[in-house]
Amino acid sequence: MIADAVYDSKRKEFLGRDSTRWGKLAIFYFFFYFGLAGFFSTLVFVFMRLVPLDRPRYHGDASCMQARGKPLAPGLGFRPQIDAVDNTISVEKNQIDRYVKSLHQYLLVYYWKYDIDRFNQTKKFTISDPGDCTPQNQYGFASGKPCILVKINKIIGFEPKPGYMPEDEEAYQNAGCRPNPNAISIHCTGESAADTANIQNITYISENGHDKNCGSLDTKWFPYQGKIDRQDVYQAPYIWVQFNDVKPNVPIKVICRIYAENINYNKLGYRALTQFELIIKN
Amino acid sequence: MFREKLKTRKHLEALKHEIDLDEHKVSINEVYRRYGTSPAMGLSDERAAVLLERDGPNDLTPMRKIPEIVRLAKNMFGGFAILLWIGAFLCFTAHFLEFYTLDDLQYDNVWIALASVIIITGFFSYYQQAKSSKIMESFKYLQACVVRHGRSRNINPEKIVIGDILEIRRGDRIPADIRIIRAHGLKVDNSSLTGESEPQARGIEYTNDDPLETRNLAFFGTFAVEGSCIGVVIRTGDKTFIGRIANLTAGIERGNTPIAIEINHFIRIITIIAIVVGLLFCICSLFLGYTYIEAVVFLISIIVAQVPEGLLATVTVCLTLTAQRMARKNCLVKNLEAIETLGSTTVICADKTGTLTQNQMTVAHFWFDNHIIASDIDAFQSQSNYLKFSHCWNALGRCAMLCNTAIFKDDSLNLSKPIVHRQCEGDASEIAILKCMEAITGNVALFRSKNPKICEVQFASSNRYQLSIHSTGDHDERYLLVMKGAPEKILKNCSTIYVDGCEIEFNTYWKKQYEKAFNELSNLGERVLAFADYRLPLNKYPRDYQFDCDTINFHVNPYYENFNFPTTGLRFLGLISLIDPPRVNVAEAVRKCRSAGIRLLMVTGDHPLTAAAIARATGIITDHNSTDVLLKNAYDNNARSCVIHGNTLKTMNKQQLDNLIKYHQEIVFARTSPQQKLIIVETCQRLGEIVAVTGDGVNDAPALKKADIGIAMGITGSDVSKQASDIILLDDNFASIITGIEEGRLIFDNLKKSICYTLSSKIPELAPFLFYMIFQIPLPLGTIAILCIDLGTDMLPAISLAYERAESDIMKRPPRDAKREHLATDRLISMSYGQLGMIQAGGGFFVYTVVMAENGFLPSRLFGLRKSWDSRSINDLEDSYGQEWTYYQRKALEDTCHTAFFVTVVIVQWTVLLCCKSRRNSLFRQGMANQVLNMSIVFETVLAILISYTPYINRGLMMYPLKLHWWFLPLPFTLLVLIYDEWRKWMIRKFPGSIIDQETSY
Repeated sequence: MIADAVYDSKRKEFLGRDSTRWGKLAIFYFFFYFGLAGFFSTLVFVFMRLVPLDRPRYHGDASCMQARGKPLAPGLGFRPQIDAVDNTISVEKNQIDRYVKSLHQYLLVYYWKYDIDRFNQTKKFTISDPGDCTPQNQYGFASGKPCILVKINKIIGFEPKPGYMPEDEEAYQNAGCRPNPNAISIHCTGESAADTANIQNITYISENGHDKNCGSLDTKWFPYQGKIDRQDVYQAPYIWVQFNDVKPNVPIKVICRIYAENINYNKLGYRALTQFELIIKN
Repeated sequence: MFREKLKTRKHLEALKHEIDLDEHKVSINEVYRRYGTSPAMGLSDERAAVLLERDGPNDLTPMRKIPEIVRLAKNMFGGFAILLWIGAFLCFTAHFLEFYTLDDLQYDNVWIALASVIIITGFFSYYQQAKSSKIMESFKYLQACVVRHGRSRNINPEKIVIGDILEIRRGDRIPADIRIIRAHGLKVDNSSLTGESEPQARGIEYTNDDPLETRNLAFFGTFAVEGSCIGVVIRTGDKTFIGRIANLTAGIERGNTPIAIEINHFIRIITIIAIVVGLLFCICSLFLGYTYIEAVVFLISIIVAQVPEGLLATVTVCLTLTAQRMARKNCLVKNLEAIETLGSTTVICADKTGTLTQNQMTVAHFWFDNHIIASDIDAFQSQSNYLKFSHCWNALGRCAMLCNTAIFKDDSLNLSKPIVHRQCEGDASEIAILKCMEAITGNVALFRSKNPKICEVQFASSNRYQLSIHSTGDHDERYLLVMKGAPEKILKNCSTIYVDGCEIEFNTYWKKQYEKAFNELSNLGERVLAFADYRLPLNKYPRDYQFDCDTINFHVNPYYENFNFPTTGLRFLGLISLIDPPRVNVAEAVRKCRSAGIRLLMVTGDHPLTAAAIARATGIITDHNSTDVLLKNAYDNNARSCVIHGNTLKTMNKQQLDNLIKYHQEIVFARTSPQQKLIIVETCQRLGEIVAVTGDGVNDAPALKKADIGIAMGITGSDVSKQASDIILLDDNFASIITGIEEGRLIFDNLKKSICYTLSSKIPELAPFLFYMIFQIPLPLGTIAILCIDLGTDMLPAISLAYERAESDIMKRPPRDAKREHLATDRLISMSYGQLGMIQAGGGFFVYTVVMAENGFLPSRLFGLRKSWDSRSINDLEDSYGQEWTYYQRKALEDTCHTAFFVTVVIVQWTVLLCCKSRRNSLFRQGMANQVLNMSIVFETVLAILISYTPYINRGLMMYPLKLHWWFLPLPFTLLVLIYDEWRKWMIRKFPGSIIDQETSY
């Protein structure tokens, strides 16, 4: 019954059409779609010629980053992030290579851009004293004291102001940040009190030195100005967060957040933070 | 199925023959004994109460109704709903799967949205159905007079029980089956039961084995048109004769309506497409390395994108709108789907009396002075001059006025009406003559009072004449005897004829002249009555002579020799012929039917001559051969027209019947019984015709029910026929059927357009998803936005197409071939999905590209981005300009893209809607006169603006405000649709049969 409907062997019809009619239909649709594709491509081509090269037409407050009255606030990123979906960093004997490699790769690309000529005129970011967080040291992964790179999202034209938002005062005081007057702070905690208890000893390694309480980013690196001729000419500042004393074999959820006078923190809205999970296995 | 049919047939045969009644055979005392009653005392109240308790009220149980809850459930779980329920269930499952596995709750609300959609549309359809079926009000009748405890009293007819003694007066509707105890000149109108239009005399005699024929029974639902009677109730409620037919009718099953078949066909196609596409991509996604959960989520999304959620509601609304329009034109639609059935009707079996004709006898011709004069009440004034000078006319007119027992109902309101509309009492023929005379002479009542009646002999079918004796007011002392009746009867009694004022011998020559006139008139299908008078000689019949006619009992001794006055040797005056004339606009309607390719069969209980005459007058038969020739045509397959007598029909076998209906274009069935009506309908249906039946009597009910569409008469129709029908003509006018057919055809065309429009947004809803899956781009259009299109912006435009006027004269083309011409054809789907939908999708993707690019994600960046884009773990996704986006920032961008895509679909749908207005005509010819459609374009745009910009609403629907210039981006595609479609239609018109015509005209 159904087979008959699909192929009528008597009349040599497949789904009610014989081969000639199928052929004609195919020709018709070939030209039709060819034309439609041409129309579409032309429009996209024209549009692409009009697209600005260095920064998107809408950026900052005009873009979709800022919507429905939610303040424009950059998020944070962490490295090594080797899986798009899973944010776990599992430090295990003989299993650390992928993380080390990932970090290495990241920094290689990061500093490789120095070779571009135009870069000379713009800001170059380096941490003069990375401490344990060096490739030679395998970024502390080998010794069970992993260095996690934490960076702030690039947003064209966004300038963070040092300080903290009024509603963050208590958290800021508890964090015990003492940044330079023209620097913003980054601080990591556990997601729960138990998590926090498991990561007591953290070293924040910033461009300005090592600190036990907070990392800091100088405001001189901001704002991000976009690309030049579609080339990256900017280094987003970062810090190292080294976890010196992690309770082993327990997954620990870590949140790193940023404090600035004009950055609104919202955990549900993923604003001004990054999250990852850390396990040190014996 | 077959067995059921057999049962039905058997049942039907049982109708006429196997009535388990013997009350008419046994003595009346036996009947009293049997039911414990007496003619004087009747039943006691207590006993009546007991019987009422036992037998139930004397009322027909309404036709088996589908319980409301079942109907609601059908709307909730039938058709697309079941597909959507599955979708909702899968969403629900996916929601929990996601809940326990990922923390990304993408499908958290979709199942709630789906479930609400199904429930809302389900309730809506149910409400529409319930509304249209409630229009049928019950037709109750008033009071019945019974004898109880020896006193007569009025009670509610429902309370009548077996054994009650009933008093029936003229004009009453007989409230139960009764055996007559005493009758006085009783005549009943059995037309609703047997189809005989003549009132039947009823008395106390047992004359026939067949209960329907015997005189001493009268049946529930018939009318006492004359006289009065007393009877004992022998059957009540469903056990009555009519009750049995009603039950039989209820037992007749019939298939789905064509539109229901079409919609099921359509749903099947869409479901198959949705499931095949869904499963295909579900499997593909597994191969592409997606997880099972993701695959299930994809399946759901594809199903949601493919099912036109709003379409069934749209169809219901379209049909309802048409039903309302038809109700304004006096076509009451009981069953919405019947509207379209009317449009695809190929054969109409029309009842003659009351539908094609006025059901009102009218004087058609006179014959006197050897001339046939046409009578036309309105034009009579001009003729009356001639008539006034004719002596013969005076004599004929006097006779017609005096030998006539009909009277106008005596109230001033009635008498102030135009003559034609006045209500009268009496036999239909007599009323016709009365009205005619009143129109010519001005005051019949005055004339009668000047010529008082001395005695009269009433008309009876046994003697076939009536006479009365008057003393005249013209100073002639002699009494005047006037006589009227069947011509051959009157002829026998006449010895002279009155011509040109002279009384001459009624010799062979005049008899021949009379014969000629009589044949001519009866060949016109007219009923001919002859008139005669006689002056009784004064010497034999002096002024105080006692005429003796009351004592004669015709039924016992129907010979006139018993009168004490002569009834032979009369003076022949002339003939008056009567006809139930066709309604004024029927001929026009028949012509329209014919040009619309619909065959009209006349099915009537009347005599072949009368039937053929009306058929000729209305154009149902265009053959000019005489009726005798037509009667012989039944077996001649080459003849175009034929007239079939019921007796001939009885002898035909199935094959002959098929041939009869297949080969003759114009058929009149005369003297047909209810069973034969049913057989005719079945034969037509066997031949693949879609049959409409019109009828008014109870006897028509089985055929009405069996037909694909039953059309009952609102004024003359019986309750049972109304219940069995799908459409009621409130004005009993056949021409209204034409309106209905036109509307039915129009709605089919317009539903096609509506479906084409609705389906065209399916591809732009599906394609984003496929691109998301295959090319791993961020999703361009979300499920909520799809529902916004299907149930929001697309609804009103789709409905507005129901208001679209016809493209060409739809009444000049043959009815659609139900087997080949479908609502949703492969070409419609190809056109809607493959062409219009693709252009829309193109527009959507273009706008998506622009919105993404203007926010930083150039097209090259989008491919393969899906996984990172949708991951909550990544809070720093980099765009083409080096900016990094948090999860919520890019989700806001994605929702903005959804909004823009949604808006694009709305804007491209503007011209898709304009294109769907016509299937062949250029838009410039079709015009923009459909204001509802124009409004709907404004409406959908305003709705899109509201959805995009209104705070809270946009948050609830996950939409974002758009930049102004994004609204203009779809315009190239909007124009492309218009240009492409105009070109396509131009090709179809210019090169019919070309590949464009073959593959794209739906």
